[in-house]
Amino acid sequence: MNRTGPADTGRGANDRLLTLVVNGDPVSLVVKPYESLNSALRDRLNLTGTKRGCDAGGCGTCTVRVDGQAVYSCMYPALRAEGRSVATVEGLGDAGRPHPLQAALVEGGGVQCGYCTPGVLMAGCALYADDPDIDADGLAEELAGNLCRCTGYVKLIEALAGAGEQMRGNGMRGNGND
Amino acid sequence: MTDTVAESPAVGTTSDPFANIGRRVPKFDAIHKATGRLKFVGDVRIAGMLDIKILRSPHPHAEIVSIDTSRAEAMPGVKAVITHRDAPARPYGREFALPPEYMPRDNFVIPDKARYVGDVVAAVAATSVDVAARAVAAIEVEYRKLPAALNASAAVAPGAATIHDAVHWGEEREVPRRNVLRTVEMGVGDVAAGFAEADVIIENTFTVPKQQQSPMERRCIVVDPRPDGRLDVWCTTQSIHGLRHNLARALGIPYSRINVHQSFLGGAFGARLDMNVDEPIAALLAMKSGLPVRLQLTREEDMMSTSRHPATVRLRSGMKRDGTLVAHEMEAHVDTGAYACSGEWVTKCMGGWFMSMYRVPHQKFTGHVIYTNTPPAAGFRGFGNPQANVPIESHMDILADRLGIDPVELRLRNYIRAGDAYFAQGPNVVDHIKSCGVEEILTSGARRIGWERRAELARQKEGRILKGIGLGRAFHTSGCGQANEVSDILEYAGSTIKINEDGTANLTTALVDMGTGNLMGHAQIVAETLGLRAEDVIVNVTDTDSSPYDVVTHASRSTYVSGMVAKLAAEKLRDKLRELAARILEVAVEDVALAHGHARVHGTDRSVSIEEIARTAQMRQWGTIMAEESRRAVTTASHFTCKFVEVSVDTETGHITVDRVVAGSDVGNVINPVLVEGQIHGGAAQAFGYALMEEIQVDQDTGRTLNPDFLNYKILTSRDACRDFDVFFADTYEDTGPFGAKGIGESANNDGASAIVNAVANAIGVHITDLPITPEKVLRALGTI
Repeated sequence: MNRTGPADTGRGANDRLLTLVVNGDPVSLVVKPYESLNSALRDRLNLTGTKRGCDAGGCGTCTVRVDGQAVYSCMYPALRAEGRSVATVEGLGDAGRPHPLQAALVEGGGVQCGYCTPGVLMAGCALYADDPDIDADGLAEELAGNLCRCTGYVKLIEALAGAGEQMRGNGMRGNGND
Repeated sequence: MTDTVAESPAVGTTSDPFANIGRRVPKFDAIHKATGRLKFVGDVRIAGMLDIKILRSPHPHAEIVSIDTSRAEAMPGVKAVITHRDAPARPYGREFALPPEYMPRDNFVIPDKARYVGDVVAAVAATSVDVAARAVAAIEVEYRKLPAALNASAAVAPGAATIHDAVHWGEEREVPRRNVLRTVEMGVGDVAAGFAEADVIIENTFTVPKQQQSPMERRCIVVDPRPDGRLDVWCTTQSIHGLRHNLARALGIPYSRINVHQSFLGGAFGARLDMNVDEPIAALLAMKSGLPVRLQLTREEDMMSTSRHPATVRLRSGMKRDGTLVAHEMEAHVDTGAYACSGEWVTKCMGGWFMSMYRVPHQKFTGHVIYTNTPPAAGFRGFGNPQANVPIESHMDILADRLGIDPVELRLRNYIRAGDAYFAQGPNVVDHIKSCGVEEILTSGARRIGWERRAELARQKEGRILKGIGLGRAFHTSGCGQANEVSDILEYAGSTIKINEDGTANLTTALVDMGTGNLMGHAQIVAETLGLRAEDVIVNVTDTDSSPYDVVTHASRSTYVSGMVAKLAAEKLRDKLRELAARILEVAVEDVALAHGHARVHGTDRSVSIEEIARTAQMRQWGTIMAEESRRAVTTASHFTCKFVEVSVDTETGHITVDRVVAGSDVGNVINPVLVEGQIHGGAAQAFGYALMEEIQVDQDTGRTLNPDFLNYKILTSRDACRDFDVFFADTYEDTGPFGAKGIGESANNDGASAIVNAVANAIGVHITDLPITPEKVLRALGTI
C-alpha cells in the first residue's frame, strides 16, 4: 500500500480550471465538474471560515456572496463562479478593523457557538447592501434561511439591527468586502 | 484575613474593568468566530489526511450473514476497510460521567448485527470522500432480516424480536427481558394512601417527541497516528478526558496512548455528551492504515445518531380541596433506541426531576427504559427534565382550574423550597436547596406578563385568533456533587493557572465550551480572584496530555463546579502573589491584598503592581508563579426558572405564534448577564420547537428515519422566534457557588414547552397532551377536522 497518503485522487480527465476573484484577489484552481463552491473554498483554498452544515441548502452556515448576492455555497457549483467575485467571512474584516456587523455580533452577544456566524454575516451584508434601511423585523424575516440553534435569534437580530443604525450613520451599505 | 477585596461581588453596571463579576464583557472567543478564524474540528487539516465513509444498514434489524470487501479494497485510493471481523469483540460503554463499573456496555466498534436503519456495517478510509463513498458502495453484504420493533409498545409486546441478547453493566452480564434495559423505581410515602386523602384526582397520558439536538456543526473526528504508536485526536466532544477513557476502553489500549485535543464546539446540547460509535471507528481506521483520518458525518448521519428520548408518560395527581398536593404517580415508557447509551441515566434523572418539583408526601415513579430498532437517543439539554415537566406543569394548571385556585398561587403553595431535599441527579444524589428565588420570579413574572388577563382570555371563544397566556416552572441541578466520594456519577474538575512575566495569567482547564461562554465565565472568575481584568486571563486551548481531569460539560455544572475549582486554584495563586508582594514590599503577608492589578498594603498607600511582582519574580529567579487545584464537588445548587408566554392560535390554520415571553430565572449571582441571557433565549427557542414542531419520525413499516435533514426536520427560524423577550433575575446569592453563582443551561430549556402547552390550553380550552402541538392537532382539538 502507498504509505504517503495523497490528500486527493489527483487530476482526472474531467477536471476543469476555475478562475475567479476571492475576497478581492484573483485565484485559479482545478476543480471537479460536480464540485460545489463550498468545497472549492474549504477544501481547495483552505478558506475554512465558510462552514458546511448540511450540504443540502437547509441551514445557511455556508452562505457566501457571489457578485454581491448571498448564496448557499454548498448548492452553488464551483464552475458557475467562473469570472465572478466571491466574498467570504475571511475578507470581511479582522480583529483590528472588524466590519460593523462583526463588531456588533461580538459585543451584543450575537455569537454563541459561532458556527452560523460566518453565514449570518455574509447574508446580513447582502441584506444591508440591498436595503440599507432594513430594520430588525425585516432582518428576522429575511434571515430565515440561516439557522441558529443557540441564540433564539434574540441577540442575533438585535445586534445586526443595531449595526445597521451605525452603518447608516457612516454611509455604509454593508459592502465590507466586495 | 484580607480576602474581602476579592470576595466582594461587584455590580454589573460599573465601567470599572477590574469589576469582573456581573459585567457585560464580550466573550474572548467571539471575535475569532466572527472573523472565521476559529478552527472547529472540521477545519483541522493534516497533510495526507484520509476521509472515512461508513456503510450503514438499510434494515432496522438484520444479521450480517456474509460481507465481501474485496472489490472495495482493490479500488485505487482505498487505504483501509474494517468490518466486525476487524473490531474488538468486547462491548464498550459510551457515557462520560459514569464510572466504568456502573456503565451499560452494549456497543461493539462494528456489530455483527444491525439494530436500526443506519447502524454501522463497515467503514472505509480512502484518499478522498468520493473514493471512500464509491468503495462503501462496492462492499457486498448478505443480510438475514429479523423482525423489528419500531416503537416502545411493539418492543415490549409478547413475541417481539430480541434486540440485545445481553448487556454488560461494568463486568456483570445481564439479559434484558422483553427489550427492557432497566426499570427505574423511586418513591416516597404510600401513593395509595395519598390518593385516598385526595379530593381531586386527575390522570393523563402524555407523549413527548424524539427531538433532535441539531447543533449547526456535525460530528467530526480527526485521528492522527503518531510514529510512537500514540493517537492524536480532535473530536466534537463535550469531554476530552471522558472521550480518552471510553475510546481507550473500546479499543483495548492504555489511556496514555491517546491524546484528545480540546476544541470549541459548534453547538452540542447533549449530542456530544457521550462517545458515539464514530470515534472508535475513526481510531481503528487510523491504526489500521497508519495514516491520519477524518470522519465527517453528513447531516443525515448526525441527525440519526442522537436525539432526546421520546417517552409516553402517564401522570396521576391527587390534590386536596385547599390546593395541597398529596399524591403523585408517574409511569414513563422511555425509548432509548437501538442502544443503551444514557437511557437508564436519563430515566433515573427523570424520576428525580419528577419528585423534586413539588412537596408531595406520597410519590411514586416507575420508568421503563426500552430498546427499539430505531436510532439511539442521547442526552439533550434537560436530560429527562422536559419529559417530566410537561405532564407535571400541565397538571398544575388543570388542577388549579378545577379547584378555582390561581395557577401561580397553586405553585407557590406546593413548590419545593429552601431547606427541602431534592434529587439532583437520579436517586443517589440528594441535596438540600439552599438559595431559592422561586417566589420572586413567579410573582414578578406574573406582574410582567399581565397574568390577570388569563381568566378573561379563557372565556374568549369568538374570532379567528384566540390568545392565551401560560406558565411553565422548572428547576435543574447545577452539577452532580455529593458528600459521598464513592458515587455512581463522577463529578470533579481541575485547573492550573500560571502568571506570565507581564502580569497576565494563563488558565488551563479541560472543560469544553460548546458555545455557551462557560470558559469566558472562568476568565471572569479567575480575574476577579486575582485582581486582574478578564481580558488579562488567557484561557489555553489544551489537551488530555497537559490538562487536569474534568468530567464533562453537562448537568449545568460548568460555572458552579469547574468554575469553583478554577476559583480555588486562583485563590492559591492569589496567596502566592501576596507572599511575593510582601517580600518585595518588606511587609507581613497578612497586610497585603490584591485588587485593581496591584498588591496593596492595608492602611497605607504602598503597593506593587502584579506585573511588577511577576517581573521581579523572573529577575530574581523565584520560579514560575503557578497554582493548581483539582477536587470533587460535594454539593449541588438548584437553579430555578419560570416562563410566562403569550401565544396566538389561528383557529383556521391551527398555527401557533409565540407573541411574548417573560422569563424569570434564579441563577444565583450572575457572572456575565449577556451570556446568561443568551442561555435563556436559546433554551426557550429549543423548548418552543419541542412544543410546536420538532419530531424525528421513523417509518413504521421500513424503520427508516423520514426527516433527518433541515428541509424536513424543522427547528425555529428567525421568522418563528419570539423576540419580545423579557429576561429578569431573582436577587439570590448561592453561598456554595463561585461568587454566588449557580447554573442556568438546562432549566433555561426545561420550562418552555410546559408554558406553551398551558398557554395554548388557555387560548383554546383544551390541554393537548401529545407533543409537538402541530397545526393538525390544534384543529383536531378544536373539532374542526
